[in-house]
Amino acid sequence: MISVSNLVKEFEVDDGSKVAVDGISFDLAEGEFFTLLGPSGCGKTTTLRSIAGLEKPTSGTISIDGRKVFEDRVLVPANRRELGMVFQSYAVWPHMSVFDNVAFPLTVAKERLTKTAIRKRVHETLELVDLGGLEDRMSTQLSGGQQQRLSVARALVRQPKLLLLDEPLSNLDAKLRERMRTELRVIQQRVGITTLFVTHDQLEALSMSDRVAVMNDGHIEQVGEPQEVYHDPATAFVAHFIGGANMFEGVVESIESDGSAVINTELGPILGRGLHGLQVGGKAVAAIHLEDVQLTTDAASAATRNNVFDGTITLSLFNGPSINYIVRIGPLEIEAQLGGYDAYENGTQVKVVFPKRFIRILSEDNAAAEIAKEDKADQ
Amino acid sequence: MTKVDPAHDPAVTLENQIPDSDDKPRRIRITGRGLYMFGTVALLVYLILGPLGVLIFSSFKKTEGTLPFEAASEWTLENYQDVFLSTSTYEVMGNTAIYAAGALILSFTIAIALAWLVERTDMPGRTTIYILVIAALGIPAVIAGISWGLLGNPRIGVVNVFIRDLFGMEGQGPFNVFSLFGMIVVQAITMVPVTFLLIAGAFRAMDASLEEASVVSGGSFRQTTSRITLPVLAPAILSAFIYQIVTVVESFDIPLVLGLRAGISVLSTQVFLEVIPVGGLPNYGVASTFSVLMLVLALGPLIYYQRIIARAERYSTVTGKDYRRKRYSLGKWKPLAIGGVFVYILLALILPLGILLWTSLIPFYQIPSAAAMEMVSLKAYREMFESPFFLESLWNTLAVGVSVAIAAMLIGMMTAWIVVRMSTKWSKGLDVLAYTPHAMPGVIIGTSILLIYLVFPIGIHGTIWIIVIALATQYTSLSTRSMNGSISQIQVGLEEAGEVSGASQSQIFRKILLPLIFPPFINGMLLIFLLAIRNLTLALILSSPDSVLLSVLIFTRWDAGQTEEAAALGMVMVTITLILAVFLRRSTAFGEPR
Ligand SMILES: Nc1ncnc2c1ncn2[C@@H]1O[C@H](COP(=O)(O)OP(=O)(O)O)[C@@H](O)[C@H]1O
Ligand SMILES: [Mg+2]
Repeated sequence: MISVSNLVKEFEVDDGSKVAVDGISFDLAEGEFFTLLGPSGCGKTTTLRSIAGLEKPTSGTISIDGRKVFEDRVLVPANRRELGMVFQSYAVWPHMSVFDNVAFPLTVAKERLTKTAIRKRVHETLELVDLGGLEDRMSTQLSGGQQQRLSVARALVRQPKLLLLDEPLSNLDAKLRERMRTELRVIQQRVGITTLFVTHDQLEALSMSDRVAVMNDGHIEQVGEPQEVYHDPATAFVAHFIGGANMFEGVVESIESDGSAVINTELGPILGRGLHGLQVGGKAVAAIHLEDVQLTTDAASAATRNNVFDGTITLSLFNGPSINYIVRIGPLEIEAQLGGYDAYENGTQVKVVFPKRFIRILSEDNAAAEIAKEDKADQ
Repeated sequence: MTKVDPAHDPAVTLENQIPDSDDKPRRIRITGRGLYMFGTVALLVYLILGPLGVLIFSSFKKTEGTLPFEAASEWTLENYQDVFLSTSTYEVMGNTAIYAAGALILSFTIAIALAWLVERTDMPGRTTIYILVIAALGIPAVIAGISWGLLGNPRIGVVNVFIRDLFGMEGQGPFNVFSLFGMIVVQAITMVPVTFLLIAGAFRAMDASLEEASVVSGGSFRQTTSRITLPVLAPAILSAFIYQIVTVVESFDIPLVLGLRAGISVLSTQVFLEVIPVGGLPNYGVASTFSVLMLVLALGPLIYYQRIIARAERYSTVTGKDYRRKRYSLGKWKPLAIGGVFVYILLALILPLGILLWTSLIPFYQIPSAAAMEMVSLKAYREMFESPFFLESLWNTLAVGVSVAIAAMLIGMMTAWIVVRMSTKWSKGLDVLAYTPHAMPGVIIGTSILLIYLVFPIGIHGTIWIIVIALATQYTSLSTRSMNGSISQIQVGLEEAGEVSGASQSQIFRKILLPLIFPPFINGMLLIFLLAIRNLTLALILSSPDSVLLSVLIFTRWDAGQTEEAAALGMVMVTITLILAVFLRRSTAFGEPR
């Protein structure tokens, strides 16, 4: 449906140029909900705007529905790309009514629909986003959530092949954001429109998408289904960015034929699954999600397992469905998340278990080194 | 995003303003506050409603040879009959209408184009253009009038001679600046800087994604401009337009310098001629009647203006958080845009300043040429410094400027404080009252203040202090408006945080509010100082031989045909005003999205 390859975008800035997008490629299948996920400033918006035609890429190719919209000599202007886009600020036109906002794309089209056809189409689209009956309101009289839906309606009214969404939920308050997440996904599936979604919120990305591309500093780290990027991160950056895992730096000691590996860390050797081009003697990190860490006071049963360490609970934070613990193990502090019923007191001596199947061992890249540095600085 | 209306903000109610825990007795505090409010309101009423009352009173008095307050002066409707039954009144009103419409349309066309180029496109040298446009604020209208009188003289004006030589034309022209057309062009050029300041902020603040949303919806450049950009900016442009209607109706310098020589009167010069006639005695009654007429014309748009402002604020609340400035690429239009901006800078700055300098250096006026170069001398400057009038007028001008700047800003701050922070049922009315002087053309303020202090025995008639009072009254609307903006930008929370930390009201004022208010206060003072010293209208009506100001001296020298003296004095004035204009930071009175 869309195909982006080797997309590069440099911005002229005061002191030279800044590479915002550094050669990224991906394809979207018909009807797919595809998400670009990454921290702020990693180039998501720039990528989206290049696809929309609002930004002229430095190089690469972009094609939409089989039509080349950008290549060396081809640059289809934004108003000829026939797609729908929802802006982070909604960009609802304040001087127009709800109806006029939604009707605008139809009234500027080359082939005009009749007045009644426009009326009918606008009405249907507003019904779809649950704004039926508000046609005559001024757009400024809508609440934030309604404005957001209005801008979705405006993007969909032309029945485009492609919908672009740039952090559409980030200006909503927490409750509404959660509801709109579901609603957007429902609308998208009902219409069946191919959707490219941009967000820095991993929860949005994981819950809404068919596939997620994790971006970092202008390039894509990993593309995969939500479960895949969550459980099998391809890089240390992905492991850290998604689900905020515990990370332990170390040196690879051995790699087994079944894919498991041992890494020597500050805590001692850790056994886990080796995931990515590991080399014995090479630098690597072991990562484990908070909820995969096990805590127990039963020393006997713990003794039968791998990766067991002595720890002390230093802090517990109850957050409803679960409790987050900070546990000190020797020189390090780790975080664990357990079900919300059996609480440990501060100061409790526990056995900390990292089950082998939940430990991912990843060769260390620069990003991971940076993250480790940041974490140190945080402490 | 959305501004909290102080009237509905529970934090600003009376109870919350006065902490019960304070050690002073509550009764005294309320009285102090009441005194402050009463004092401010009384001052405003005296300064603003006083002159208005006097005007209306005088317009019903027979004043041939008498003053309106003298016992000999009878009640009459004659002034209204004279004004409304005379055909010349309709001619003057017709002139005023054409003059105002022409100057407004031209200045808005130029200012909108400049604002768009500077704020929304990849125009090269944007910062320089911005500074140059603001610098043009440093050319007082009286000087622009004189310079263009020299440049556009049909016989010997530099521009005309140049064009005649270029096209081998004979005789006079092609342009005559002493005409309605000439007045319109020069007035428009002098109005561009303020118009630009009033609208540029809206161009800058407009969320670019509103336009981008149109483009991705399939809108072309023209559809986007006509259906999104201009309508979204319309409230801001319209409110600037109404603000400037008043400016152009009251404008006096250019009609005086260029219009009277061609026998063209507009309302402002008509009032002036009744008050200070060329021969004969002043007729204050007829002048007052003309003033009332002008006031009605200016007040209408003002009332509408308040409504527009409310709408503009509603629009401004919807801009989103994430907007990135993407500038239109001018592409092949770039040379045209650069050329256009250059022509404007040439007409607004380079030519007027050039001719002023040239004229001040030559003993008698002639076209710049190699032969004339040999006559260059500093004679005019030497004589200027030797004249006792000059130093006195310079000193008077600076004293007036400083006094007016301080007085107007203090009144503005006191008023704004009540309007923004103390919600009483009349704070809205106070806002309107403080705004009224903007709708009172200078000649009206001048005439009515002249009338008041002719009879009021406090002995300021004929001194610079009557001019200070008049100018302070006139600029109260500007200072109040700018302080309104600044004070409402300070969150109430900052004051409350001070209160919760145990500070008393006066400590909060000194340690929290004063430091925050100080920069905009100083900036407002600079702006008002600049406007006050370049003002000719009030100075001319109210000055006497003992209170000559620079602007008056420039005009009288020009009027007496002493062109090079006028030019030398003009150079002194422009040096001061240009420096001030360049130092002027963006004022909250202008441009800042409110
Ligand atoms: N118009 C621009 N000029 C210069 N740099 C820009 C511009 N737009 C974006 N950038 C830079 O490009 C990088 C990527 O920006 P963006 O695509 O907005 O990131 P994201 O949407 O992922 O937060 C950032 O470092 C940003 O500062
Ligand atoms: Mg972004």
